[in-house]
Amino acid sequence: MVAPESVMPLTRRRFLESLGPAAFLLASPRRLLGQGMASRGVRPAPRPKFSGKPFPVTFTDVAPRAGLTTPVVYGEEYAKKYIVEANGPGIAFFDYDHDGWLDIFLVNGTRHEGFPPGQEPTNHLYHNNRDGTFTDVTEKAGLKHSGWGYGVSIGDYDNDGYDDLFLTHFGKNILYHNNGDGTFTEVTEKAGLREPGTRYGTGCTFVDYDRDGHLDLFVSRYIDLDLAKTPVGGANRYCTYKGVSVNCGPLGLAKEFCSLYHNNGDGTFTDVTAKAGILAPGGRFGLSAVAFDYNNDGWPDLFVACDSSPNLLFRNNHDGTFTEVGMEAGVAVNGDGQEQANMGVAVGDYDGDGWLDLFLPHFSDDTPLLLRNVKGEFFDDLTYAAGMAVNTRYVCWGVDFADLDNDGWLDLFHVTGTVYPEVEKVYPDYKFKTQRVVYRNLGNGSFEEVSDLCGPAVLESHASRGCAFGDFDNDGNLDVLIMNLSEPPSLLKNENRSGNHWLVVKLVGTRSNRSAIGARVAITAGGRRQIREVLSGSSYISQSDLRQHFGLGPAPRVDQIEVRWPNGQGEKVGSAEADQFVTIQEGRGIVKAERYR
Amino acid sequence: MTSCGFAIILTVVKNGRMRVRFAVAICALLLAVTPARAQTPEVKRPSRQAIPSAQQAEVAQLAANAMAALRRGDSAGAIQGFEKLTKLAPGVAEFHANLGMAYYSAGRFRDAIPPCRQALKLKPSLTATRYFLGLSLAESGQCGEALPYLEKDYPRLPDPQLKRAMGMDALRCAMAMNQPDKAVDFLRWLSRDFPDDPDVLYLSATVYSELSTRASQRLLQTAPGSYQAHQFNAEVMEYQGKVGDAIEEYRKVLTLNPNAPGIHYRLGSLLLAGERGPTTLDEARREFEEELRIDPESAVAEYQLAEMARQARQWDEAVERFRHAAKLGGKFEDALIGLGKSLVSANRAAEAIEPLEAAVKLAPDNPVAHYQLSFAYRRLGREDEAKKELAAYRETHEKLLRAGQAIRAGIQGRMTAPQTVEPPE
Repeated sequence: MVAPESVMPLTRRRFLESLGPAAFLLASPRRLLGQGMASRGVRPAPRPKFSGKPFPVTFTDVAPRAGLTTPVVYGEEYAKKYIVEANGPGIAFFDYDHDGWLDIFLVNGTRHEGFPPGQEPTNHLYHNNRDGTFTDVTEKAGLKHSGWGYGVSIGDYDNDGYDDLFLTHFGKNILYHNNGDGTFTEVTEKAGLREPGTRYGTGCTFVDYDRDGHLDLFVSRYIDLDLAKTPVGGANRYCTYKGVSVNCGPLGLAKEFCSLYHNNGDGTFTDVTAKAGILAPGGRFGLSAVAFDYNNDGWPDLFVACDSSPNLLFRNNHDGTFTEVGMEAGVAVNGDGQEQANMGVAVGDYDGDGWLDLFLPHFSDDTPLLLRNVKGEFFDDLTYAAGMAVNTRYVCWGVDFADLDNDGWLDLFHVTGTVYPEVEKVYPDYKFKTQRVVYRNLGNGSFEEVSDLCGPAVLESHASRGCAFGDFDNDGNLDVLIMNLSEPPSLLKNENRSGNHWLVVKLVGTRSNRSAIGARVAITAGGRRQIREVLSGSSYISQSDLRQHFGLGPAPRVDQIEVRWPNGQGEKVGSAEADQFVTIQEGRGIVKAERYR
Repeated sequence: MTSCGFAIILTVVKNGRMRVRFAVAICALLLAVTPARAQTPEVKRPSRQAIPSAQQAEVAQLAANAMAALRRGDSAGAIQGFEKLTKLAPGVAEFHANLGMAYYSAGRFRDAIPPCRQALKLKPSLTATRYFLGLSLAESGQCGEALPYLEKDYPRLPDPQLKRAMGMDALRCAMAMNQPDKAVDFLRWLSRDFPDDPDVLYLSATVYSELSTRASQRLLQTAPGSYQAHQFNAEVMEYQGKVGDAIEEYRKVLTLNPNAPGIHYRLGSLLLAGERGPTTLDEARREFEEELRIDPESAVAEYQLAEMARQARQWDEAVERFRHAAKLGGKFEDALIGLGKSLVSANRAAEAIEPLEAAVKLAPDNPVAHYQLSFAYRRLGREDEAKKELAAYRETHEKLLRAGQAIRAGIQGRMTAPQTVEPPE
């Protein structure tokens, strides 16, 4: 009998191979028929057998009883005319009054039609009352503002001891100076950060790129968007999804550029974008930005997660300039050489080898990207190998590596929600609101999904975007704050029952920037070494707790703490007992140790 | 008239059928009465003896007029003139031949047949007339008679336009006569002679599809309970995305023929493509392994097992299986790329170079091959080569994107060019 292979192609793969290069496009009908976002149209990988290990973490949404009841307004709930309304903002954990308890900053949006005067939605600052509740202090703080708010990052740009606030907008970005008395003053123009016209700012990160002790600022942008000239749903192939008319873009629209602002040390900034080499790689659909030292040379580098265009990795040249090395480093596109729709970014050393890795969430019908840092030379796409390709149905946004069960290994948590509510009306299975996803780190380089084990709050459906991680109730467990479109935020309290030990480290710079952004902390406990880096930005255009949380497993103490400060200087701090919050000041070691419970 | 040439206009008309109309400028096919008239290599000057001397002047004039009419595209005038000529001088083969051609150019294919036949009866050496007889028979649906002419004349026809038209007509006739062998022959010849012609390409797609449909219908009629019939059904369901139904049909195939090659492979692939449960992975693996038991040469089954091993980080198994798949599959660049990826992941980058270079050579337009090779070079510190491959990746990736845009534009009829603004000052 003649083998079928010789008679006809057995598989779509072989058939498509015979068609030549166009086959790679035909393999993904969506790419062939066109849509606004990059997605490979892949199926999820088979799930490996569950490890059987218990995951003793559940989450409870305490937002309602905490007083977080104001919904975010971001265009119409079930109809997104423009992409501006579909993407949505970030959210921040932010100890604005430095009392050791995390407060919350919620970025808000608006509607194209506007609101009657006095009824415009505004950003919100919530003060932590330390009893599980929060109080809205927005007006008192001088932070009322209405507009298409996007990203948020925290950093003490003037080194006065209080973290300031920077917000990006579709519109004009805003810098708020923290006055130290519970109030803020808008200083954008004074600081030299006011831009002409309307630009689409998204991710932002404070970074001391020249190690002069002052926090500089990096901003990413998304689209050069003029709503008056932007097509609407169905206008062309970039404005349909699964045959349904949807908001257009980003494909088909004009890309934008990032900006770098140098802190002059006197409260003002200078735009050094061109001089620093930030324009060299050309435009992108830039979203979340984060500064971190990927090659362990002591200088912060810059990463931008980009939507439907290659991601950016700017390597710090140590001389005020950067070289974009995304492609060479293997972070620009996935292992198949294709760009993806990467909206957020998580930075963490998930395999404990001393090098910071990346996780990039994804659009639906595609996988995320788990990029393992190989000694700072390049990144390896280990998405499939690490068990991360088991979900392709969600559109994913805010994300972070976080040790949720305090076993000493960084787990992963991300939020989801699609951008096309219109599609659900035609395809009921394509939900606008979808669940959160939790992956447990198995400690062997791979992960397994444990969402079903984490309680109903994780499985609830929302159209979420930004999320921030931090211990809002100071019980040693990392909680999750989530921005939900057209709903109040979620505040997921981590009810970790593992009994594992932990340590939270707050760093305060003296010669370095006060916020210690860019500082690298390494601890040794139970024979294992773990690292963390103080990050401004990350997740999806959000800001997590600047304090660094470590899970210690059964180890009752940390044998050694080492800090590499943003100015490059190292410091051995010594040991510490577990289950407490320690404050380490540059040059002075541990200056405070607290237990809140 | 001094030269002979054909100007041919092709039009594709509705319903996907092709008609050929010729606007024929015939320079010299006949004419005996005027010495100035040139002769074609094929047409001899008609004998003066065929025309009574009393009529030669009239005939000459009529012929001149008829020729002029034909030259300026006045088919009706040409027909009228040559009809008179064939009555006046019925023994002149060329008059009949030209009448036939005039009818043909007017689209009166059925009317063209008798004069062409008569011309060939009087003078069998009129080759051009034989071409038009075959074409006229085909165009008027008399395929049984047309095919022998077309089959014989197609290979000899020097003029490419005429050849193409003849090939198309022959193909249609072969299909109409249900002679698939002949149809495939003509398709092969047309594809060989006109490889980039859109009409030929369209016909190829249509005809092969039609042949496939006929064969499948015959299969289902003659052997409805056969394993081949179930296999065919399964493939149709698979194409339609009915994964569950396809799996059921494939299992029926195996019930009838447990050793049918390719079936376990398809089952495994469908299991991976459908809804997943905790045992899906193991079930799929078993199918691929069973496929290899039946057909140890199945490169694709080996490939699937290799890919599963790679995704499970079982590098040694992945390497071994990809290597075997590449060896079995011959020009199987996916297997070579998988092998390269696995070797790199297993920290054996030096060994990855050979298969990845082979993949690039096999498929120079595949951006993935270039990307992976660039990575492997970088791992080994071969920076110049890494840069070269990265540049090749960028070029092939861009080319692929442009090809995709072209396909989309063709299908959807629109093309919008995304822009990038200039950076601000």
